[in-house]
Amino acid sequence: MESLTDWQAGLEDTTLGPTRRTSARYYTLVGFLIAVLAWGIYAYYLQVRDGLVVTGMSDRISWGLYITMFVFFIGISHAGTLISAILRVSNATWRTPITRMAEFITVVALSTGALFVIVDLGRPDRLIHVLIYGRWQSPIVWDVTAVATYLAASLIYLYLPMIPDLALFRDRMSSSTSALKRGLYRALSLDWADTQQQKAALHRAIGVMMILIIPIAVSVHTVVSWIFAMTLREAWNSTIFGFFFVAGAIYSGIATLIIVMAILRKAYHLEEYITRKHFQYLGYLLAAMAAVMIYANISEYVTTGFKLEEGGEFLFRQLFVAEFAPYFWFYLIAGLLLPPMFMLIKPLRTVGAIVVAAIFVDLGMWVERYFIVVTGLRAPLLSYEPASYAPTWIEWSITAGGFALFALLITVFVKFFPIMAVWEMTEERKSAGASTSEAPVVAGDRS
Amino acid sequence: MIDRRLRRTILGSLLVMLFSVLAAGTAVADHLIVDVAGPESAALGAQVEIRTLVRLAESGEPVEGVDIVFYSDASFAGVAGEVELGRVSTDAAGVAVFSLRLAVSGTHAVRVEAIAGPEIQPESVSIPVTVGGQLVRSEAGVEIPGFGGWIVTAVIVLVWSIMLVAVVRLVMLARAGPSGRRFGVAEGILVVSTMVAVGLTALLIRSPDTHANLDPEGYQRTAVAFTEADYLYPGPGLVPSVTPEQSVAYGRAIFMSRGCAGCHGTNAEGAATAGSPAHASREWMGQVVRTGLPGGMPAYSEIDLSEQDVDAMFVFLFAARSSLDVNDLEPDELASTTTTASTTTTSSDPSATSLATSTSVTPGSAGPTYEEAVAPIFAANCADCHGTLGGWDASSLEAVLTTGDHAPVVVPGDPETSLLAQKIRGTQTEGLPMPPSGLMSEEEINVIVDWIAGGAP
Amino acid sequence: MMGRSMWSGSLLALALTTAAALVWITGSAIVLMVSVVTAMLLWFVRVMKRAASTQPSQIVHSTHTPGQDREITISAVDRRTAIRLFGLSALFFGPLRGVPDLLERVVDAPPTPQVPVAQGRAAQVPPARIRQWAMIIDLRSCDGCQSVESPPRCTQACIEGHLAPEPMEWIEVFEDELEGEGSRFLPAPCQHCQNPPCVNVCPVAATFSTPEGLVLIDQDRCIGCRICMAACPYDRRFFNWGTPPVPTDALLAEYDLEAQVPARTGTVMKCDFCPDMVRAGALPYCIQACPNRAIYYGDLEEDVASNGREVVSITRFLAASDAFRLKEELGTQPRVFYVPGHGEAVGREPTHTGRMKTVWPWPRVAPGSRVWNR
Repeated sequence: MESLTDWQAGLEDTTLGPTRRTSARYYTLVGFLIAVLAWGIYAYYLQVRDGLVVTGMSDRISWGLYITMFVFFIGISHAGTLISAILRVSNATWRTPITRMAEFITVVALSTGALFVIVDLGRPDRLIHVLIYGRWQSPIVWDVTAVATYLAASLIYLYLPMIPDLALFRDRMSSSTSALKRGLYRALSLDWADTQQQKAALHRAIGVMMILIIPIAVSVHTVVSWIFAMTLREAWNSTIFGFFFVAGAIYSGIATLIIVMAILRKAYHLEEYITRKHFQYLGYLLAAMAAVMIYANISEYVTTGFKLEEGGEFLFRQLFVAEFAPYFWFYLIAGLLLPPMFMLIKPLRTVGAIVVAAIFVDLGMWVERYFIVVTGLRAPLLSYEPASYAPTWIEWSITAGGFALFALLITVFVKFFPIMAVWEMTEERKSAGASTSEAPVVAGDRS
Repeated sequence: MIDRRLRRTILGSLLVMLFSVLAAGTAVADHLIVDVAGPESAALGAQVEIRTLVRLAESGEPVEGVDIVFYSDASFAGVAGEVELGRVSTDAAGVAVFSLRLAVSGTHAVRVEAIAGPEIQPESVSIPVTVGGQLVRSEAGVEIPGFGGWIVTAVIVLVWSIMLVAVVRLVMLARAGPSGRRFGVAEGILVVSTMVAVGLTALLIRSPDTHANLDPEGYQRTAVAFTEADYLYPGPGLVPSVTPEQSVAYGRAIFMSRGCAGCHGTNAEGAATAGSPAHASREWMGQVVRTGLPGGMPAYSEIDLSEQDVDAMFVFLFAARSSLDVNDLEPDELASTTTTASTTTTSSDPSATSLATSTSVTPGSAGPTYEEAVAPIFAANCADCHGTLGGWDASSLEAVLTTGDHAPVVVPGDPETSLLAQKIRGTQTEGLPMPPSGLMSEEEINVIVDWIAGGAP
Repeated sequence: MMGRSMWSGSLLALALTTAAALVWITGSAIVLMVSVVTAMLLWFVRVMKRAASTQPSQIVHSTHTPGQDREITISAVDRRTAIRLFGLSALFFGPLRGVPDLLERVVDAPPTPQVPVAQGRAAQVPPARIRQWAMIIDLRSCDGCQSVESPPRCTQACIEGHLAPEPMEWIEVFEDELEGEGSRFLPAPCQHCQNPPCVNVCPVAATFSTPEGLVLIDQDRCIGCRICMAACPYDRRFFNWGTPPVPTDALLAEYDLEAQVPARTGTVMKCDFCPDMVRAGALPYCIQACPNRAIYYGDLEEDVASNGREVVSITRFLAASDAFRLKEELGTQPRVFYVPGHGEAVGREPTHTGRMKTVWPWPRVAPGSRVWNR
């Protein structure tokens, strides 16, 4: 069992690693992502020039891929809150290596999601109207307010525990990096000297934010769901939409965190700190959220299906047996039922299997967002034939650009900022070592 | 030779004839008398009852099962006609009660038809509605109880202030060195209060209660309007939304309904009290209408006369220019004051004294009656304004006797104290003389004065 | 030292002058607010930095790498400086008081020309009644214009009168299936609800209700988010997905909120009950064009309606004919009433189905435009 200082030195080296060395593989990845993003920007330029007529949307199905992506990304942003705030409040010590990634996914997902709403606007040049003519009575204004507040809170919540790590970077990399990076670390680390008072002040600040950010995060996806639930569309006219969407958000957030964790762990050799136990615990959380989601879906469909009011039959038909059946059953089976199985079967509780489960979850949740938007709008309101929606290449390009932006921001972040919460991990290990003289809780398998 | 058989036959036939005549007589000689009674007057929106009693003319017995149909005149968008309001059947007492809700101010004339078999007996009743107002209000949108924009704003300001406290704490981190410095309360208060001040300023700028039921800039509400011309759809093709003729008619309607015609003449030709406004520029008109002028031109607020109404009137006046001979017009500036006008009238009118002496008509003599003599005078000179405007209504005898801001304007038997007589003679100096465009002829004034002196029959 | 403070002082003066000039030139409230907040922040930072530089540096033992001592500056602000800071910052509250007035002047509508003080007495005008527009569609007389062998004339007249771009049908004739055999035609304009879901959800109040009960759209304000289209339960709102294919003549018109000509890209449009026409006393295009006089337009306040040929009392007409409104259970309170029927008053057999397709008769449309799907 290595001493605390040795362990700490190892941790610091590992964390500093990505900022020190940049491989050719990294540049290739960044180049590819920038290319996809540029293609997406070109597609958006065409859309701005010609209008939304270049998409597959129509008067009858007036929302499509863009709103799907918006809801999906805002949903993913709940990863950071759950891991950092809820687990911190409940003092789950195993969370410390992964909090940084979780918090950063939140910030990046929120920014990308907000961009997709702007992409969907018919008159993006009039965006300022939302600020100067905004109506508090409108769900869209609630949405803008909640997402802006959550973004600000997440940035603060990301930054606060990162201060000591930035001080570490400042101290350890004073000679080996560029002046830009040096200036950045010095400015951001706020003269951190690891004194008692500073630590106390930081703990207080983090304490305030962690309590505050939980209701903010819950409000965000509730408000996003109310953009649908405040209309009179048959499929959206449900009182549990808020709860439904928040549960789905946390579900997809955990899955995204698992995926990003696995990639970064592999790329930067973080196996000693992010162990199988982390994946397993997150997998248990995933299974728990899957149970909640299954319950929510049962509540929704059984109560509607039992009565089959006017329009209900059309909805059920298109969802269960007709045009959208492949989407729905994929979501139900691969997205909801399969992933918890991975946790129930012991041999499947490996990192690789859990990551596969997480990929299914993300795919299933993306499909769910898609068919919620489209089937809700597709049900005919008067006597006409239901329209159909097929996204065009411009919509797919901008979607791909959005995913590329998400990945690019994470990739670039890792180059500049500490990938793990060194200070928190050290503090936690110290307290664990002081309370018991045994090995810390999270040592273990690296498989 | 008249034998017994023949006598019996003749007697029998006579009896039968008498009997059948008697029996048939009751059927043939029957007419219906329909009495209709409505309320004396009613307020707007009131549910009034019109009672009809149907009796046989001869015996006065009530007749059951007669259909009574009620009609009213109506017009909309240039289409005029008669509207069936409803139908009721008489009960065993011969009474039918029809309930009617009065939606418009003014006098409602309800035509009644009693239908018994092939016989239709018409009647009519008129109900004056004296109190105006708005019955139907549209309050679009929804009030969510408990949801206040201010509550939302307060919550958001609170959340952002707490976040700023965290920011302030981390700024203090940088300066909390080993010297043992505690958290700086002063700086914390400073930043938080600054943010709250900025937040409140933002609230002052843009009230969160922007309800979409407000008139946005540039939109004017629809005003009451009517037109005399029919608008016919000519078929496919590019159709202008409103023809020029309609605009002129609409402008004239505004001109009349706002009381402008009273002084400026119904064709904007001007009068003794006010010149013709036809050659005024739009800017001058807009200014005068808003401020008024000393000498009688009133000031109209935006609510009474919107800018769009002024635009419409200008269209009418512009069109009126071409139809008016310039030489006939009074100059642009408005004429002298009312006092001058009234003194000129009284002093230059030699019949003033004779009027005073000739008013001793004994009541009961065959003086002029309303229907014969007075109503046509009112219709020609007064009804243009007094009928649609509030105040005194000149459209019927009851209205003449009962309505008015200074009711009663007619004191039967006493023309000296009757405001109506004073006004038409021009002896009443407060306000304008009537008609404002110039007093009526001497004969007409005499007729009215005689009528009042005769007890206003 | 002297040079530095002079430099920073003149920089400050330059910054203040630039900010003031920007505010004066643009008259923009946002610029003013941004410069005020920036000034406050810069002042705060500057004072803190100055306080930091007055303290001697100290040598502390670094906890990160033992053995390597680092020299760091400790900054502290003593109470006097804090009070000075607090007090001076209160100066910034002063201009804040004037901000609402300034903003009111620059943000709100251009001020109307100054009108001299009233010289005449206030006019006594009887209160003008506010009309409450409503429409009644008598389905007993609607046969989808089968009898005149034309695409539905109400739709055609509306398109031609408003120069609507293809494929918008602001009043659209739907064909419902009847319970037994056959169909009926249902012309559906915007229902002008009194509890309009579209107005309730609009983020910028681009769609609004007028006191006459109409629901209109300000295409100068609409941002094209289309939540109103998702909220409307009658499918009566239409979006300009690209450059609208309006006839070229429409491009010459000056945009007016009540005429909606020409259409604007990226905004929403719909039936508006022709407010400019009814204000002048005419009837809307659809009412005039109907060959069977099936549509009535009227005023609920005065309780009268007309179809161009006759007048009716609205309450009587509706009560006597079992009138209904669409989707009454949703609580939108529409102003369009329907009298049930299937064209029997004009001799239509319910089994005679089908109507002709709507035509947009524009010989030349706006350049660069194209037609999209409904």
